[in-house]
Order: sequence, then structure tokens, then C-alpha cells
Amino acid sequence: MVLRNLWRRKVRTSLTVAGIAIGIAVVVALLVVAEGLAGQINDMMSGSGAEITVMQAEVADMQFSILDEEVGRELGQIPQVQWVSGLLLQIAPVEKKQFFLLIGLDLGSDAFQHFRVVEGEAPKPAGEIMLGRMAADFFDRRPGDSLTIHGQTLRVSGIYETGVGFEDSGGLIPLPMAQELFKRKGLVSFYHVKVLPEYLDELDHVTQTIKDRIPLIQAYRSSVFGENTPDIQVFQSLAGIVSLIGLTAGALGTMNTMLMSVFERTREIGTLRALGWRKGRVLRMVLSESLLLCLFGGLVGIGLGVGLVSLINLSPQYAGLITVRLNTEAFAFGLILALLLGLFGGLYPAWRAMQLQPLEALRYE
Amino acid sequence: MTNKEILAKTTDLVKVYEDKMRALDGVNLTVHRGEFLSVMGPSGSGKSTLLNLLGALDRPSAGDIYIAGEALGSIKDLNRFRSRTVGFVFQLHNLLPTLTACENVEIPMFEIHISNRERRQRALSLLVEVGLADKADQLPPRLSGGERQRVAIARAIANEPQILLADEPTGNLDSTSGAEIMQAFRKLNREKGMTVLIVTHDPSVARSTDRIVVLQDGRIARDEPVGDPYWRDLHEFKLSGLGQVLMEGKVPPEIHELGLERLLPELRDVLANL
Ligand SMILES: Nc1ncnc2c1ncn2[C@@H]1O[C@H](COP(=O)(O)OP(=O)(O)OP(=O)(O)O)[C@@H](O)[C@H]1O
Ligand SMILES: [Mg+2]
Repeated sequence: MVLRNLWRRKVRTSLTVAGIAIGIAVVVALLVVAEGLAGQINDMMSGSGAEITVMQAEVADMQFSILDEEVGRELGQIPQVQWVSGLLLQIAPVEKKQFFLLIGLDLGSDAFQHFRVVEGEAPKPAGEIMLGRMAADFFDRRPGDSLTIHGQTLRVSGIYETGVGFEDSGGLIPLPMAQELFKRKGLVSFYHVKVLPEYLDELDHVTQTIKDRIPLIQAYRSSVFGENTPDIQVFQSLAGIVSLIGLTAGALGTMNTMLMSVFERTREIGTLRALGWRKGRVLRMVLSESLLLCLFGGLVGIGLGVGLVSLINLSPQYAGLITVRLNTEAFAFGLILALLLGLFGGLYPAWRAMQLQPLEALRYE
Repeated sequence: MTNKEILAKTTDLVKVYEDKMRALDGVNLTVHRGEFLSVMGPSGSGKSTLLNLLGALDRPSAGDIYIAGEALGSIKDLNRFRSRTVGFVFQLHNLLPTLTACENVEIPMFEIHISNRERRQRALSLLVEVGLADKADQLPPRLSGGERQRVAIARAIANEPQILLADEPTGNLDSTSGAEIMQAFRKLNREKGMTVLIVTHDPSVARSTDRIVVLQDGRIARDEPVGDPYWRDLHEFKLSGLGQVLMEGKVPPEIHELGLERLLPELRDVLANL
């Protein structure tokens, strides 16, 4: 019955479903992107094998994080720490037109184990670069070819794979070379911190010790580093604002549709009341319609949102940068939002329907 | 047939609308269980007002209504009263257009707590009673006016009410469909002892019931039985399919079969002058 009441105005119902779907799609897409990006960063930081990642405190953007190598020495002196490895990250211009993520890493460090060489060999300090699998395909380079980075021509020594999109679509050079190339002598972006096995149970405590000992830095567990970077946080708050606007529009649309539907069914509602239907049953009927309407919108929207992100992900530029998976979280969130829309959009129309006096409603025309 | 148990009673019933319109001005009406009566009167005489008060769709300004031993004014749960004690048939059938005939009949049964299966079973057997067994899954727009009104009757008696109230149930129908509806009411009255009160404009419809109450300016001007059952049956015949064919000047095959052609002019004359 609820279904048929919705279906009797096919165009209006479809339009409302489409409107809700678009709103939910944007929210789900932003959520999936935010989680995908954070997940990538986490995979990157955890992939090194280090449990803790250290960055500069209070920077506006991950890229701007700068740590003196003195910080590395101090980290190394903390008793619970097994090893420390510096990492310089830079979005670097490639062949003038493109950009990719350039990773400067100490090739002797344990963190380098993460980069599996699948073709050629590791880069030598003198003017060599190792490319990620996707970057090599995208720029069509094999070991022995050359590639211009930041105005400097480098020889491709080999190709690596890590399974992390950010890394596989970037390149790797030895840390000192990166420091020279970007004029960051004695500086790194982050430190990977490996904790001694016997302290693994007390990671939070170790993290706190690091923060207490060294000023002006932030330390997080690598597995949740992404969510804590300013980049992802700014992205998330923007996404939140956009979502709020979209959802308000969705709720108003739902309300409008349901109000119109209640008005044009005034006589019918009067009939139901005259036949003995209680106010509560009328309220439930209208609310169910509104919830069902939004449920459709939500399901279509979730599909649309995931489709949208997948589509972006298919374009070569962004290929693999976001791990798209429809995690149950995004799915549940989309559905809950849709149902909340239905509830808020439907409450007032349902209340209006409930207040109709049977006799007046019957006389209405 | 008619025993003397009082089913409904109004005492000095007054209804004044907000604009000082005195729609009912002291109505004393008594209805016995099992009666089949009609209320007539000119437009604006208060017929619908009386019906709405009896059905608890509206509240009187003064006076009391008792139905099935209860004073309407003291009933807390009017929804329960509307769904179980009275059955309503409106001038416009007021069926829900998106629901099938059967689902329309099920509507009132949502308020009595029975299983979905039982609800459907009961709706189907009610449709059988009004002769619409084969139309159960039709949507109202695809039913004829008379069929819709019969669905509305089935819906009105779904919860086995004490009294069936109908406001001009034949008002929007041609005379053949109107006769069908009246036969359906008569059948309910005869076979189930259902008390039926019909508001109508049509004297023939009124005379096919057992008692006619005439309202004028909010008061009962006349209240008398349709005296001779002979005349009542004649009115019922006039409303019937056969009567309609005769009135249209055609000769039904039954007349030929029985060799009654010679009675035709007199029969037509009697019916026309009813
Ligand atoms: N809701 C209302 N508000 C004000 N006046 C009303 C209302 N309902 C009915 N009336 C007035 O009360 C009087 C009686 O109306 P009612 O509908 O009972 O007449 P009726 O006998 O059913 O007429 P009809 O044969 O035209 O249906 C009329 O003068 C009408 O204008
Ligand atoms: Mg009327």
C-alpha cells in the first residue's frame, strides 16, 4: 500500500528519489574518498614496518612537515625504540607537465624492505631513480630509460611494487639525493619509528613518551596516522559541510513531496479516519512512505557515489590513488542518513495528516 | 422481523454550525434493531448533518445520542466506535484508488487485530456477499459506479457494525445501478438483520425501504412506515432490472414467455404513477 501510494506519482517520486540519491551520493563519495586517502597513507606508513610515525606539529599540510635530523637522533636515544628511519616526501614535477609523489628514503634502512624490486635494481646514489609499477606504465619507462624530475634527468634503475597506490604511482630515490634535489639538507618530512618487540604492548605509552621528550612534533601510531594528518582532517570537515548542505536540501525536498502527497489525499485520509483508523496509523502510513522514499534514494545514492569514485579511479591520472571499497561503514552511514532524511522530511507532513479532522477532510475538494 | 429493541435514539438533537446555521433543531429519532429506514427532505434540511452526528463524525451542539446502549457524548474512544459500531457508505464511494477492491474492504479491519490471512479471507467473503467475487483484484477506476458502491458497502460492514449509515448511496448512480445497491441493502437487512439507515432524495428509493423520515428545516416533519407492503414491493419492482426495462418502453422476454403482453399497458401505468 505504501509502495503504491508512492508509485501513483511516478514522476514526482522519481525526481525526489533522484534528488535524495544525488545528496547521498555526494556524501558517500566524499566519505569513500576520505577513507581511501587515509587508508593509503596508513598503508604507506605501516608498510615500512614501523609502528609509530612522527611529523612536525601544527603544519597545514602533510607536504609541509619538516623535521631536523636532530629529531631522528633524539628518537634513536629513546630506550624503547629499535630503529628510526627518515623519509622525505615531495610532490615533484615530472617531464614538465605531470606530478608524482617522490619518496626519498635511506636505502640501507629496514623501511626500504617494503619496496619489492620487480625489475632492474635499487637506485644508486648518483642520478638514479626507481619507479613504482603504475608510474612506469603511465610514463612508459623501463630500466635504463631516463626521466626528468624537478628539472634533473635521472636514469631509471628499476621498478618496484608495494601494493599501495600512492607509492606504486610514484618514484623512489636515496634520501641524500632527495635532500639535495629539493634543497632540504639535513631535513626529512617524517620519521618511521620501530619499537622494540618487548614494548609492542605499550605503544600508546611509547607514543606519549616521544611527544613528551621532543618538542614541536606529533607522533601517531602508523595505523591511524592518515586520519590524523591535517590534509585528511581538512578534507573531512569540508566534506561534512558539503554533506550538511546536501542533506538539508534533501530533507526539504522530501518534506515538500510528502506535504503535496498528503494534501492531494486529504479526502482519502478523511475516509480512513471515518472508517475508524486511528491518528497513529495515519501517522505511521505517511512516515513509512517517506522512509521508503528515502530508502530508495539512499540505495541509489550509495551505488551512484561508489560508481562515481570508481570512475575517477579508472582515469589513468588517478588510477589506484584511492582504494575504493564499499566498506560497510560508508554503506551503513549512507543508509542511516537516508532514513534520517525520511524521518525528518516526513515528520511534519505526517503530523499534518494526523491532525486532519475526518469530516472536514471528507468534505475537502 | 422487527423486534422492539431500540438500537439508536436521539433526544432533542441540535446542531448549530459556526455561522449560526441551525442545521438540526430538536430531532427526536428512534431506530429499532433490524429496521430499514430512509431519511428524506429538501436540500439543506439537515440530513447529512444528522447522519454525521449518528456516525460520530461530528459532535452535537445540544441533545444526546444513544447507540447500542452507549451515550455518544461519553465515549472516549471514538475511533473504536467508528470502526466497530457504525458502518459508513458515502455518496461518492470514497474508495482508495490505488488499492484493489479487496484491499479497500480490508481497510477497517486494520483496527481489529486479526492476521493478514484472516483479513483477506473475510474481505473476499464480503465481496462474495455483494456479488463481486470476480472483481476482488480490480482497482476502483476499472469498476462501474454500482460496483464501486457495492465495494463500499462490503467495506462498511467489514467489522460487523450495529448500524449501517449511507448518505445518498445512489445519488451518483443511474437508476439500474441504484436498484442494485438498494437490493444489496435489502439483502443485508433481510439475511443478516442489519439495521440500515439511508439518506436519499429519490422518492422511489425511499419507498423501497420500510419507513420514511422526512426532515424539514432541521426538524422531523413526517415519520411514517411505508404502509402497505404491496406498495413497497411495487417500488422495489420499479427499481429492479425488470422494472427498468418496462419503464423504458421495451418488452422483456419474460413477458412473452408467460404470455402476459395484455397486462403491459396497465403495469406501465401503475409504475409511472408511483
Ligand atoms: N460544516 C458546515 N459549516 C456550516 N454550515 C454547514 C456545514 N455543514 C452543513 N451546513 C449547513 O447546514 C445545513 C444542513 O446541511 P446538510 O448537509 O445537513 O443538508 P442536507 O439535507 O444533507 O442537504 P443535501 O440534500 O444538499 O445534501 C445547510 O444549510 C448547510 O449549508
Ligand atoms: Mg447531504
